[in-house]
Amino acid sequence: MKKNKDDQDQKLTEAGNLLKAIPADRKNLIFFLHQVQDQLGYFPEELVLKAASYFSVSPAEIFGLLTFYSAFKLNQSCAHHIKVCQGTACHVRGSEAIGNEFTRLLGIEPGSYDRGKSISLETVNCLGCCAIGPVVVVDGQYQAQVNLKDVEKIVAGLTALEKSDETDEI
Amino acid sequence: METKSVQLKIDGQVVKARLGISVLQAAREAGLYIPALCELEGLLPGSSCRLCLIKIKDRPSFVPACATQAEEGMEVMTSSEELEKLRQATFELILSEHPYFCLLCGEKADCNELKVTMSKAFDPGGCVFCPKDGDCDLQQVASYLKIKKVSYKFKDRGRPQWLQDPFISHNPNLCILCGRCVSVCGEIRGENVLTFVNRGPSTAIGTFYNLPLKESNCSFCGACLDVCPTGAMLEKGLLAVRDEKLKSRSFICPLCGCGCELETELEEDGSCRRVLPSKKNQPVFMSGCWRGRFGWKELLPGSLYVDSPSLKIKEGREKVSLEQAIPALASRLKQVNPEETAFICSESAPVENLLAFIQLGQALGVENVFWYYPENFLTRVNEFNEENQLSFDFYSAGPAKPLTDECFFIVDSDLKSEAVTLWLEIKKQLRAVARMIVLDGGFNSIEGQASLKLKPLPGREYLALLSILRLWLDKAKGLKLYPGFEELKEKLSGFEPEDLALASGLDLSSVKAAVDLLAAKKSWKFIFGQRLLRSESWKENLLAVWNLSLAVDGQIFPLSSKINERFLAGLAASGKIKIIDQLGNLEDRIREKKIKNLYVYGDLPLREKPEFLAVQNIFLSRLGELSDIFLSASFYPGESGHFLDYGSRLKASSDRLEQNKEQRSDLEVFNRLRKELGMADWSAPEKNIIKDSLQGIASISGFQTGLKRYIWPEDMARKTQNSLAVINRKPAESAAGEFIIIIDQNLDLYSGLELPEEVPGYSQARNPDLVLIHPDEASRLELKADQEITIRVENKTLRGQIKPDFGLRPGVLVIRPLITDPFLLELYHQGVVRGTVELKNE
Repeated sequence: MKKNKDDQDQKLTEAGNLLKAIPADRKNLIFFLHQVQDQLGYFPEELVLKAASYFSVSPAEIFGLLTFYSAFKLNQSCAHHIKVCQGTACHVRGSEAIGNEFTRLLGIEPGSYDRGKSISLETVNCLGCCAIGPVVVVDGQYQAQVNLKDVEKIVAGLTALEKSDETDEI
Repeated sequence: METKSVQLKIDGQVVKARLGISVLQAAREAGLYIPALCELEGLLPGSSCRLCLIKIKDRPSFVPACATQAEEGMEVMTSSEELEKLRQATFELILSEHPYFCLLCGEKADCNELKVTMSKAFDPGGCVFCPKDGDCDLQQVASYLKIKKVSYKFKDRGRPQWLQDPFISHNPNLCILCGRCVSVCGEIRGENVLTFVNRGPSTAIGTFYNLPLKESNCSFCGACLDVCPTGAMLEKGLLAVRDEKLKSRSFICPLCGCGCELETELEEDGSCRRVLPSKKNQPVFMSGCWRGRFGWKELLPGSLYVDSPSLKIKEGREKVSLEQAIPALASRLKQVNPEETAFICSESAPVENLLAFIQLGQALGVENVFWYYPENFLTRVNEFNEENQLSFDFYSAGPAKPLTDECFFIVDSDLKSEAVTLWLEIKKQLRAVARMIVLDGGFNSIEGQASLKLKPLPGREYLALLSILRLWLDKAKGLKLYPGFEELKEKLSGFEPEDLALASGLDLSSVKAAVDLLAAKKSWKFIFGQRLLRSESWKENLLAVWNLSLAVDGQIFPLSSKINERFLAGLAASGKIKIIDQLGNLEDRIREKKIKNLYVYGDLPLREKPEFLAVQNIFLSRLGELSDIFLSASFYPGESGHFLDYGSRLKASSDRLEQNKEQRSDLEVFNRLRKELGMADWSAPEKNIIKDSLQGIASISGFQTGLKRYIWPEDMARKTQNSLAVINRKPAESAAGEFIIIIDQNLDLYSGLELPEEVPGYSQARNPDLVLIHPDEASRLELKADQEITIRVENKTLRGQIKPDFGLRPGVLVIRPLITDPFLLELYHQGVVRGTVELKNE
């Protein structure tokens, strides 16, 4: 447990150190937000304060940005992340059913995570690759023309991965 | 300069408008109404409500009048069937999420009669409870559009209200997301507390992590209340006005150097409904702060208590009437030996009262007539002035006229708390072309909005400034050569800029950035605050600002943060009053029985009681408790009289507030004392007598009338060399809890009255015990927010509560105690001290 906390602190410090390489101009703020999001998977409060002081922007303003764009998360996200596109193109190809299938198999609603906090499910409005819809993004990997069977495979794959992760830790 | 104007036609009417204003503004100035919910004069156009859409001849589409500049020959149509249809549709959409029953109600005509019986709750739950009723922009638009129905079913957002903060409440269900509050909070006041959060249908007004305002660095200026078009942002406890008539009284707020004119809204029974900054000269949100508008509301008549006169008796105090107290004091004053007597005043009364008090002392032959002035700020400026034979008019170099096209170099002054009206002026300039450099080793709430912030070690500001000056002299061409230039250049060339920078705690790159910025812009105004001159190295600090301001041909301005500070400093400079900044000496003389009688008008944290002590103050403060005779002073905002603000502007408080019947004005008290003492009445001087009082320093008019020359005294090189020698050795890791502590000014102590203790609202928002610390340092010492700690300074301890803030320099703590005892006064006087953080025993 202690190790985890130290790891977390380490990660936070590293993310904070990203600032050193970025000029303190407010136009670079969004770039920094993306970097932290990529590295940590979420944006912690103390980094907002640090960034606000560094870029001379108010913390409230950054909070406004973070809540406006769905690309940013405020809470620590899970190890695995599933995004189901519900844009128009995907929708007409049945993405709603795909979302429902994920909900059924994982037992969670979009916008939440499962009990072990290992998998989170989210719906997004458009990923900009309508040609290959319905699109599902699993841990950053785009999956094209997903059908209900694929959903089962994805969930099974992630659950297996999760188990092996656990064994790793022991 | 003549302002150019344009001529346009609005709805067929020829309108003349200043160049650069919007069509909406031009229409408003010509008395024409165009509905608008997001635009407000003085704010930047939001163009979000879409109600001000207009048609301009020969332009293809409708445009918002608020964001369209009035142009020569423009033909504007503000209304047509199509436009009204659009407006109606837009307004209906706005109303779909705002309770609109009050706008459409069939009983509207009888509303005033009926609603009296219905209003029982404080929260706006509907039209009858809404304090905005009658003053609501939605109502105005609805009546303009003659709206009869709303096609959408009303959707209650059902969001929780903000009720946990003092003074300000917010009901998100009444919000139409016009953005006025966000704009005024950020663009105008520079607070940046409010923001839009989320997106789409869930958009709302929020704060950082939706924390309560008091945890979001909100200063409770109240501007959001002034701009809200609906009842979404509401002053807490404000009741709906029914058909009773409100009376209005104005007074000058004496709580800081700004001397804002405030207006009280009094109900028929005399109770105070609310206090608002005056909108005579500027929009209501362009002046005032929470101390003024919310503090006075809780203190003014209705909720005001003034302690009555009292005499010290064997056990405790006996309340007496003024008729008893005045003769008692007079008979004592008759007997006193003037040499064993001292008169001491604070600055917070009108200048007439102060003069009357001072001259009463002088009439009695008392030489020790003091002004209690722990900052010793303007007097130090004056000392410097005289020592260097500058005869420089520091006092009138202030921003007496509106600022234009200027840039600002702020040194050790948190303008937002020390002079908010000056800050609002500067903020206005910053929205245009102005730039601002803030050099401050302590906490400064405006530095985030500076083009460049420099954080030197507290007490070493001069090294930072000299480093900038050194580089500037190297680089800048075409310098105006004032006397002493060659010598200064030669002396300074003995120091490396980098050494100076490092010794001041800055790196060379930020010093270079400052030099570049100074070179890029013209008209620099150097504003420094009292903190710069409250440290050991005050002379060096002042010298460095002075020389730098000359080198860049800028202007220099000492910002006094207390009301009447300039007036009393003027009297002091002409020898009409003495300064007392520390109390040790006075206490010694009291102990040695050299001072036997003391008459205090106001308050000071004295602990030694002389043989006889008279105190005249609004409240029975700690000193009052010790006194033999306590005379209740009149409540200053209730007195008519004049105050001198930080810019040497004389402000008149003319309307007298109704007071307690027992209460007499201070001038009346002084005159009755004079009568008892067999003196003629003291009459209030003409205005120019107050000006004359200032002549000890300089005439009021004119800019920079004094001699300009560079200052470099003999010992300056040695002093600088010494401070370099100390620091050039790389600083060792400081011991675990050792810090440099800045004892910052706290303006919440008013005439001995501890506002946070006395005023319920203050106590919720303001904690004088906060210890500001850099978050990294806090986590290094494992300190958490709100944790109680003790700080050891010179074998004594201070208590405080941790508040981590990234605005602090690591290794520096900032505290703002209320100076209520001699030890704190001693620390305050030193300005910057060293101390160790100790954890309180768990």
